Amino acid sequence: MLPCPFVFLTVAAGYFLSLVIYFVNFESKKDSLVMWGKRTVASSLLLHFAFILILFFRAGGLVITNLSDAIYLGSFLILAASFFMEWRYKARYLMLFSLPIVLLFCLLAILLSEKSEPVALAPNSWWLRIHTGLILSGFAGLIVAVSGAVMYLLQSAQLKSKHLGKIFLKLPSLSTLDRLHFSALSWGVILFSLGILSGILWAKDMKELGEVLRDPKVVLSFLTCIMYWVVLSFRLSALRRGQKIAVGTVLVFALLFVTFFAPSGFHRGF
Amino acid sequence: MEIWVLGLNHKTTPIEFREKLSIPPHETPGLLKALEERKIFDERLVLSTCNRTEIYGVDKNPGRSVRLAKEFLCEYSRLEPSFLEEKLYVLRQPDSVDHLFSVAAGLDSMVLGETEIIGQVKEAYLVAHQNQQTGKVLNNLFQRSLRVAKNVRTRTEIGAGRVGIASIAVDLAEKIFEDLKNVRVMVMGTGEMASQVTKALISRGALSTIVSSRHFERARELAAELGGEAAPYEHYEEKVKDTDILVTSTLAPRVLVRAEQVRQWMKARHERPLFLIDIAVPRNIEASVEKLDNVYLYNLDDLEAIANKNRIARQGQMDACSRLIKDQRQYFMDWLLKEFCLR
Repeated sequence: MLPCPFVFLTVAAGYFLSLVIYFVNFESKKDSLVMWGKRTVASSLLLHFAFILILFFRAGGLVITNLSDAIYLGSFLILAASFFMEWRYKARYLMLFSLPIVLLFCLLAILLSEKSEPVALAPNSWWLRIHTGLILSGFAGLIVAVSGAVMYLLQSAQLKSKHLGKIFLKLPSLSTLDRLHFSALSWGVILFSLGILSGILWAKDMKELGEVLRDPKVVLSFLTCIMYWVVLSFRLSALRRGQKIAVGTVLVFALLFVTFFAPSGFHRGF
Repeated sequence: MEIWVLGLNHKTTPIEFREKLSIPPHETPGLLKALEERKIFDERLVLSTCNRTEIYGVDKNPGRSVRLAKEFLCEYSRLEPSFLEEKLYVLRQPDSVDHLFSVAAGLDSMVLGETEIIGQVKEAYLVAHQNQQTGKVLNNLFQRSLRVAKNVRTRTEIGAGRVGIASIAVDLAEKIFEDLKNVRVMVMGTGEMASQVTKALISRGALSTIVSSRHFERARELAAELGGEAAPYEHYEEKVKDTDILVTSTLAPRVLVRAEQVRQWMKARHERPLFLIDIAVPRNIEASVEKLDNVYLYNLDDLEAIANKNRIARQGQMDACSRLIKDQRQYFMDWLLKEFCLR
């Protein structure tokens, strides 16, 4: 069952309202609703943070025992990171791309909370907190990166098509989107990799490394991580830039999405 | 008390006659004094831009003032009275009020919705005001016209989308590079259009320009004008690696930049985006270049198509603008009636 279902549904409704405001603002000729969109997201984020605090105090610490818990925290991290990056890079409408992903996660959290499996891992372990914290932070970074990559591809396609419309007017420049994408991708890949590393160390500590390495979720995570490193190294070495890197980020994200919901052995319950 | 305007503009008079009535800014105070001495209108203001020359006046006995103003304009321009009579428009309130509001909002400009006119109206008002030529009516009318212009711009889409080739090129460059301060421009050819586009890019902070042309002397002249450096045409490729925007405008009858060449440049540039503006006819850049990743190619037709689309969009806003102006005119006329007729 969802802890504090009313609060969680209110948060999800707030995010949905923010998405509607962002979308209406994007579609309208004027940018008059942009501040309302930001205010609604900020209020929903505060409420979400309060919700996480309630869970924290109720459990006597940050306990992530199943996929629903991971989604509660993950969706907060994704939107907090998007909100920060939107402000930091003046990348208007980043939230328009991050919010649908988070809403999808919220929906899954509601659906999955009804049939959560018993957890295979010790909920109060510090290793678990470090591992899931890093994985979720990395995941948040990668979602921001994929949002930036989609925006980049849309703006690039608009410029190539020479039929300049709303996307041209409303989305930021390619340069801004490239910097945002690169920064989010770098942080995301590093944190995600550290999350995987901490998981391996934890498994080794528990002398269950062999079983962990046979877990499909772990295998897919390794694969995703390696592919992200390939994309990042292309961008770092400047062999590829712009459109191809953005396409790479989006494609690897599809694999990441599969990883997140892949059947699991050792990660049972997540 | 009536408000009148008489003048001519780009719609009524060709440039060869307009220029005879063009009043340079330094002559405006003297001209206003001359109008005052001849008792032409009780309040008066002269608006003279490259597209129009107009006298706004307020008088209790306007018939005499309008006649004298026409004579004055004939004298100043040395145009035939019959010719001037034919070209001059004379409007009385409320049409004169409507006209000023439309002028200030850029609806009567050659480039619909342009903003330069707001500054020109403001300047004309300040000159008249500083020379004690305006009173309660013209003060209120012109201050209101500036507010109307602002309202029209913020409440409608009349100013949306550029309509000039150079400004469209700048907008596109800013959507690729964001800030043009670190962007390097190269121009091939010394045509007028290329020079305009490059000047517009430089005005937004683009870095020193490299001018390359088969006519090196001309390249050097243009480079000096733009504050850049000239490079012989044979060596332009050495500089392309550091160029972000390439403007081509040569008279060469064949393609000068091929897709394979650009592919090599992109490798050397580590795939950083490249913006190519080909305003030459026949085109200087191979069309297939636009298929390359991170290369954005716009030719003259592409830029013209965007300008036309924006012009049509601006035209579509005319009804909304007219409605706003009509409302504001009504407010002003109510004020005028209350102030001068109901006392």
